[in-house]
Amino acid sequence: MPDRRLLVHLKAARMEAGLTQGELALKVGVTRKTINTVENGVFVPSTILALGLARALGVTVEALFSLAPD
Amino acid sequence: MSDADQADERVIADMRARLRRRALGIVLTAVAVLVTEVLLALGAHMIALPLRWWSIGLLTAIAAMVGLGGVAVTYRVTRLPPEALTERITLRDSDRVQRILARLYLFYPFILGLFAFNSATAAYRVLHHGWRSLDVIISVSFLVNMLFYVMLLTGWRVGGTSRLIYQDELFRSFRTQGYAVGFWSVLAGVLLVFVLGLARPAWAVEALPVLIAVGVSVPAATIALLNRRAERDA
Repeated sequence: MPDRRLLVHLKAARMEAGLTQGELALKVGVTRKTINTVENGVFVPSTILALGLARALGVTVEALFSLAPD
Repeated sequence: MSDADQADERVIADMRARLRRRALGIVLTAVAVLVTEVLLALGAHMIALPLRWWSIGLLTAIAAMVGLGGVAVTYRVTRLPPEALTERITLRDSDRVQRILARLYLFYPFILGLFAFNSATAAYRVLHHGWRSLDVIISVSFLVNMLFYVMLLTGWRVGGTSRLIYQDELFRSFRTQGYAVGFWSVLAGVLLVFVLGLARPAWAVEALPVLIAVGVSVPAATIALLNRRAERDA
C-alpha cells in the first residue's frame, strides 16, 4: 500500500550505481519485482531490506528514503 | 549479454518450461482424482458395495493413490536440473515463477469448488441416508485437495531455492494481505453458517465444505490479484 509520507530515492541511487533492477535484486536477495515496487512507492520495505539496499548501493538508508515534510 | 548470462537464460528457459508442465500436471492430477471419485462412486453403487472398514479403506486408498501418484509423477517428470537450483537462477526468474504460481492460485479455486460442491452433496447424503463408502471417498478427496492447496499457498514444506520465492519480502506481504482478506471472508462465512444452522442444523453441516473452500480460495485469489497489480505497475 503506497504511503505518501515516504519519499523514495532508490531509483536515482541505483542508477547512479549503474545497476539494473535485476542486478540490485540479486545483490540483496529479493525479486526484481520487489525492487520495482519499492522504487514506485507501491511497497514499503522492512528495515532489514532497507538496510540491505543501502549496503548494496554503498549509501546510507537516509539517502534512499526520507519522510515528506509535514 | 555475457556468456554467463546466456547460459543463465538457457537454464531459465528450460526451468520455465518444466514449471509450466508442473502446474499443468497438478491441475490434471486434481481432475483425475475427481474423475476417479465419480467412477468409484458409480462402481460402488453398481455392485452395492457394503459400508465396511475394508471397503472404505480400499476406495479411499485408490482415490488417494491417484492423487499422490499424480503429484509424484508430475514432480519426477518436471524435476529441475541442478544448475537451476541456485539462488541466482531462482531470483533471476522469480517474476515468471511467481506469475505461474499466481495463475495456479486463480485457477485452482475452480477445481477446489468442484470438490467442495461434491463434498457438500456428500454431507447432504450422510445426514439424510447415513454413511456410505462413496461419501467417505468424496470427503477425504476434498480434504486432501484442500491440504495440497494450503501447502501451495503457504509454501509449507517447500525447500531448496524455491523457498526464496516464498520468502521474498513482497510476496510475503501479498500473502499477509491475502490471509487478512481470508480472515474476514471466513468470519462472514462462519456467521452465515451459524444463521443457516439456526434455521436448519443440517444446512450448516452441508455449507461447511464450501466455507472451507472459500477460506482457502479467497487468500489465494487476493495474492494472485495483488501480484497482477504489481506487474501492471512494473
